[in-house]
Amino acid sequence: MDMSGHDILSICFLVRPLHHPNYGGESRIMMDANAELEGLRALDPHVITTIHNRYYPEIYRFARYRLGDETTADDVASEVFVRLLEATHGGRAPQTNVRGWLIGTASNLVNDHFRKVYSRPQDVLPEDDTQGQLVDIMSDPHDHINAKEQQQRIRLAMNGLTEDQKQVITFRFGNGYNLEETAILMGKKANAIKALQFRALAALRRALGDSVYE
Amino acid sequence: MNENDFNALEVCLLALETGATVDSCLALFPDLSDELRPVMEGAVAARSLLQSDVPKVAQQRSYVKLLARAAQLRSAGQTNPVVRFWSRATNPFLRTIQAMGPTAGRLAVALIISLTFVLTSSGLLVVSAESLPGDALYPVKRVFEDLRTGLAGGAEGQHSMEEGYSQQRVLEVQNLIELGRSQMISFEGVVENISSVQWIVEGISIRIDAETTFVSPGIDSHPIVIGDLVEVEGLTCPEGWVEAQEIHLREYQFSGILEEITSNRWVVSQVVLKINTESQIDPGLRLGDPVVVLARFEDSGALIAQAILFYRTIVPIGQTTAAVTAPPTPVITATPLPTIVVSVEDDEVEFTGRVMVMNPDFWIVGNQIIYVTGETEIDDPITIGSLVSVKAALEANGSLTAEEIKLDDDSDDSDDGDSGEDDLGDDGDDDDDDDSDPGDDDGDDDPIETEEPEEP
Repeated sequence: MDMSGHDILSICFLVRPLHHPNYGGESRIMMDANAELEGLRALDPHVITTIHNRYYPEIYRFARYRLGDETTADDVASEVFVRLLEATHGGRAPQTNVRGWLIGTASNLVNDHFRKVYSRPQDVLPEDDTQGQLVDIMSDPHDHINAKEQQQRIRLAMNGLTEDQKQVITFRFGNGYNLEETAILMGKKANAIKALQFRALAALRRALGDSVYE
Repeated sequence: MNENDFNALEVCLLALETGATVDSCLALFPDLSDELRPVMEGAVAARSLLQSDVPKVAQQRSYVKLLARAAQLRSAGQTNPVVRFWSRATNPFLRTIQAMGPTAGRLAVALIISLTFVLTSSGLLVVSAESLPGDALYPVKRVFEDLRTGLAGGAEGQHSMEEGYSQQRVLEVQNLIELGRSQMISFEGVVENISSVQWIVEGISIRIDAETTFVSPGIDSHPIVIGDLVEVEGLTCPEGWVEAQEIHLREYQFSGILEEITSNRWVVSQVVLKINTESQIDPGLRLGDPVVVLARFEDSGALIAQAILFYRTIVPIGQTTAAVTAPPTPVITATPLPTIVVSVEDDEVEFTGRVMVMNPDFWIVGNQIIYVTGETEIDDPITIGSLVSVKAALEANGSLTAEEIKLDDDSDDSDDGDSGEDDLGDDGDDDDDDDSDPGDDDGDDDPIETEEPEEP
């Protein structure tokens, strides 16, 4: 096997996100962080609008991917922005990286949600209404009930992963971030993200056992 | 595992994204196939959870909530001692004390302070804090809550305290249900799901029957929908739900045109709103402006404007906010119909709605902005308030460019604001998360969005 060719390809992937239907170059447009934070502190409606419009889809997708429930994801995403406003107004603004702060807060809220769910065992995880591609790998692609059950199994398996593993899978598959963006958000190097991703996916597969692939 | 494995995985993931099967991806690296297979199967599972659509309704709701919070913070930051005084004066508790007159008022305050001291020193409050509706100490808990709210400094402090107590009511109901106790309760919460026999409010299952009364005074055109804040009155049942006796609409949002401005009364699309010192209003609003309103019903039935904000639309990613300029003096002839999507096929959208705004570059039909161009075919005469059917192209950025706007001949334009659901019925389409629903961007009064409760 000629790995040199692969190395060249891999360099390309460092600057290219996994394909994502809604992933656009927009997320790369970085407003000057200081101006952004200054505007937030001043409660400038234009800055608030710009930040909300820019980041809401990312935050919603992050929450939606982790939670599998549209309503809760909606609540979480909405709460994240209110907290950003309150934090900035109260002098506890993110220092430089608004996106990182938003994602971090969303992650905390998602974890809080799961803690509450698990502390009340009579609650079941929300029914997943994802219309994903899992049906493609099923024996009966029209069996949506099975698909939902399997998506729920996958989500449960995800919840058993380490926090870093959950994050890397969510960033890459839920948000469509590329290696570099994922590395920045997680405070790691791109190579470390590659390794983490590899282990995370392997761990997910192990956690699923044969249930999804029978 | 080494660097080669990781790079090979990246190649395989890219191939997977382009539609390749796991086997064909692995065929690229036959000697790594055994190691990569489980990882790729994990990737397929991870990909299956992807839901890329972001519901416009959710985004709009979040945006309005955020602006309202910003308005609150701005207002709190500008509060001076005089405003604080009046803010307190508006509190019903203090108003009652004021109404007692100077002597009786002072006596009442002294009594309250003494009572607070006694309660605190005896530990009664600590015990009562754990009490639930129906317990002997529960009234003590509620009285103390009212005292604390009344004495809280500033509107923001009171608001925050009221929110906390509102959450407390929800927890109490959950506890009653878990304990299997039947008890009359009332609590406020956001409607999360609606079906004919069961609603979910703040995660609590609410049973609806023929005797359940729905109260949304003065706004028959706004059935309670998901996202509204309601007050539920009913009986907790050991089976795990609340039998609803009455459901009152408390807070909802709607969009419309600002039609009248006076010092304490504004009118938006024929809906009369009371303004008080806590109403958050975007500065510079003029008659004719498109606005989003957050409104709350008082017990008296009056509708209080919590926020009236300039109607900024959700701007597609990568575009700057378009300045929405309203026509000088639009006249709305009837309550605007919600936008009703008839079909979305091949990036072509058809819907009906009432014309709210006519601008050289864009119109607002129902709740939906459509861009008009020189090539748009427009029936004559269409005026503000006309019921029209629109055929529009759904652009890649999510905006709509009108191809054809016609007077809607099939509908009776002289109707009184009926939501139109009878014309179209329930399309059976679960469009809660349907990003392709261009009319569904405000989440307030779309009859298709939810299953209607059975009105008694």
